[in-house]
Amino acid sequence: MLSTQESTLTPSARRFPFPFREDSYRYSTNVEPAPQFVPTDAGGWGDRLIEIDPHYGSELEERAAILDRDPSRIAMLPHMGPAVWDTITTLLPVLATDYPDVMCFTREGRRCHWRNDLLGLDIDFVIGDASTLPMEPLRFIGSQIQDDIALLDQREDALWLDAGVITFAADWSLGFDVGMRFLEVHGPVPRVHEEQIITRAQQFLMRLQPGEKFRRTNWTMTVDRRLDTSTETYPEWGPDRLEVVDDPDLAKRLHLRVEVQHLIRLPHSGAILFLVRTHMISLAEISAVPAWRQRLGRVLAELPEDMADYKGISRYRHAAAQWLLGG
Amino acid sequence: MTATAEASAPALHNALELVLADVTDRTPSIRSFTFRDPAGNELPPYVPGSHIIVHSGDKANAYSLTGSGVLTAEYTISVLRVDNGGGGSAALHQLAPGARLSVSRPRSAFAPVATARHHLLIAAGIGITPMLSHMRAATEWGHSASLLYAYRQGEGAHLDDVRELCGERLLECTDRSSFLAALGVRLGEQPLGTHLYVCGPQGFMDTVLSAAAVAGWPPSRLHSEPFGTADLDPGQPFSVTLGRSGAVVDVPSGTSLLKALEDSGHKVPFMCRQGVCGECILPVLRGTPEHRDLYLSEAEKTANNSIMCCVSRSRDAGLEIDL
Amino acid sequence: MIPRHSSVPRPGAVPSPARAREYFAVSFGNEGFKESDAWLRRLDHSIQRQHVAFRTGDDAAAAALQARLASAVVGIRVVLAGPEADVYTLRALALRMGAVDEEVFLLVTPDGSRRVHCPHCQSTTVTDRPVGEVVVCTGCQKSLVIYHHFSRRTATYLGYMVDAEERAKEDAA
Repeated sequence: MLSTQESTLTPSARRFPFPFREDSYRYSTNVEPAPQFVPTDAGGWGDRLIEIDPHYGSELEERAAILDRDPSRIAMLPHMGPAVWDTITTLLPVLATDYPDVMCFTREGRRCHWRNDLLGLDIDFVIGDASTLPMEPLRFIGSQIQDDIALLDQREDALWLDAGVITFAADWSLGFDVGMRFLEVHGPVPRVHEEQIITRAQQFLMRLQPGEKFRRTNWTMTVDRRLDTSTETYPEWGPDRLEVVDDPDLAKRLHLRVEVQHLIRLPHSGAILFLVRTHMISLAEISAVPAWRQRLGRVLAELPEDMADYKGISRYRHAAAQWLLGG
Repeated sequence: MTATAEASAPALHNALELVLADVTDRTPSIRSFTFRDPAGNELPPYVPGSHIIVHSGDKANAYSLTGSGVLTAEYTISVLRVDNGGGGSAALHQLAPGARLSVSRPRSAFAPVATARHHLLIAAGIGITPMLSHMRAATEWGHSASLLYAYRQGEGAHLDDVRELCGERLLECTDRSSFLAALGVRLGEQPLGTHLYVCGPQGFMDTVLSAAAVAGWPPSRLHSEPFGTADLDPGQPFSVTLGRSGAVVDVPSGTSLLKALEDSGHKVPFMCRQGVCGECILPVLRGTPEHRDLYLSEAEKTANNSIMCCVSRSRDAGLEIDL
Repeated sequence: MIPRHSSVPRPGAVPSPARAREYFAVSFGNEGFKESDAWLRRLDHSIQRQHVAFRTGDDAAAAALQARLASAVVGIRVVLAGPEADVYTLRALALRMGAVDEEVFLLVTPDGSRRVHCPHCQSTTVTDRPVGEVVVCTGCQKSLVIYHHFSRRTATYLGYMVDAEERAKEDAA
């Protein structure tokens, strides 16, 4: 029987959404209603739609810096205005309900009041009037939550990625993908098309009724807890993938990167809100949870080559598996 | 309403229990009903063109909401009284303010297209109700929209509302020939990027949609929402094989597959019985359904692996369902 | 090989004329002109048509399409004929101006030119290299692999730095 060494667990490990249910991983349309608590070997996660953790301040600062540096990380086609307001009026009340000590939202007609003590923010704004917010509406809601945001419009019997603020992308580019059909966005992903996974996911999303909330997880690996692994900055972080292989600090530098993705049908615009929250945990932290250590090791060792290539982990995944399983 | 009558109606999934706050006569045969939350809370917002399913007596029927869907202190529907109709409009017309009703959450099946440069709304009679919703939302968001409204003299519901809302963007027609003339002109002068929405009796919608096709409008610009179940033709008789038991159920002309299954002792979940809500979906194992619902997407209808048994029938003799 | 389900456009069979009020054709080059002309001849005589021909895709072609669509009414169809880089660029313009896919007919002539978007510096490079090969970005001089990912909005292929993961090795050596 493997036991978890409570004393060495970091707080983020206790809330970490460990995604593997078996010793191997394949793509699937793995959606479930949200929120709901999932116990793990280290604790549990998932009881809230928006998770605020100790990285809140620093991650929001990082997002602001990225957007200042590279405005292509935020994109909105002209017809997506109502969907952005819908996002704001959907998420702020959720935050206020889940974090009543530090956040408060009230609304009367179109007039809203929002207080966020974590950021020292106290504002009044009017739904539909961008000039009443401290910044453009999409950037504003992106400045209140750690999640990346994508908005999908539904028309012509398809979903279209028509707006988003994505600063913590796992190797893709919002600036390039914006305006694409959902199926086109996922064009490069191996295997999922033959298995009809994306088609079924799109059908599922197009069926979501107003107010319904679901979630799924996705994962990859990242060197050095770097949140911004967008295609744009690939020349900066690409070299790490090779360097880390022979680094004696591999277990501290290499992180399991898990995205908790929420899928929400917005009530008035009818758009699909896609929230992507990135959590990272190093192999060293994972090793404090023996069940995770072994499971991740086996998943990495077994993963088919095309999937490892697409996830960008081919160079180091066997080294990682060896470290985890060699123990 | 008596408890017995409610007990015989199907339970609505995740329904709202609302109180009837106001009743207003629009025409001698059309009456508006306004529902509120008994505790005074706001109701869920909705997509313009959405409908709710309202239970009255032992009947359930779908009605379009007439608000913009943004600020939702109340839900308002307008109901044409059909004395021998199947949806329970007559029972609804007997309700007085204060009555409590079970009402579904709003469902969207007739949404405005966000990318449209202009929304051309065309309504006949009681088909004005979803257009009110569209027009109110367009006005609130500053989107371009215009309305062509055909009604019989003295029977135009919500005329004051649409006149005030639309101003010069409204064209009213009270006879067929002036409507057809106006339609022809309108179809030929809409800026590229316009989407057309039509609601009214089936024959009216057929007229509009085929005129649009002749004028070169591609299908993805055309959006229609029929109302009332009376418009569906009774269909040809067919029989269906139940995959799990091998039993064969005959479905006569004029009887729905859902009704035939119920009559032969099979329980199928259902709600609207109009091919709108999606509740009565059944997997198809073999054969080709004649899809008459508004729920399945075109791709799903082509795939022929599911059927909405409340309205759809069979194209051939070999229909087999997973039941 | 380009996977079957990628976003990369694949010119299929020559489209059939649809019921329409009028056709507006823009063609590029001799091949494009011939394709477009032959296609328009298939239309019923009663249907209005206009054909403007350009030597290559440039601002003048975009301006001509933009001017026509700015005053167009629903019922118009747009025919675009010529090399894919030109055809897809003008399709993007037509869609931006409110057209839907059903209203734009593409007649792609075998030429092989394509536009590649560099996410690292946001430049666009025109090349005749096929998908999967490498092109040097005219903006930042990085070597970009032309990926099997295509944006209809910008009519470009995604290119990304081909040797980002090699550099460290060379530096270390």
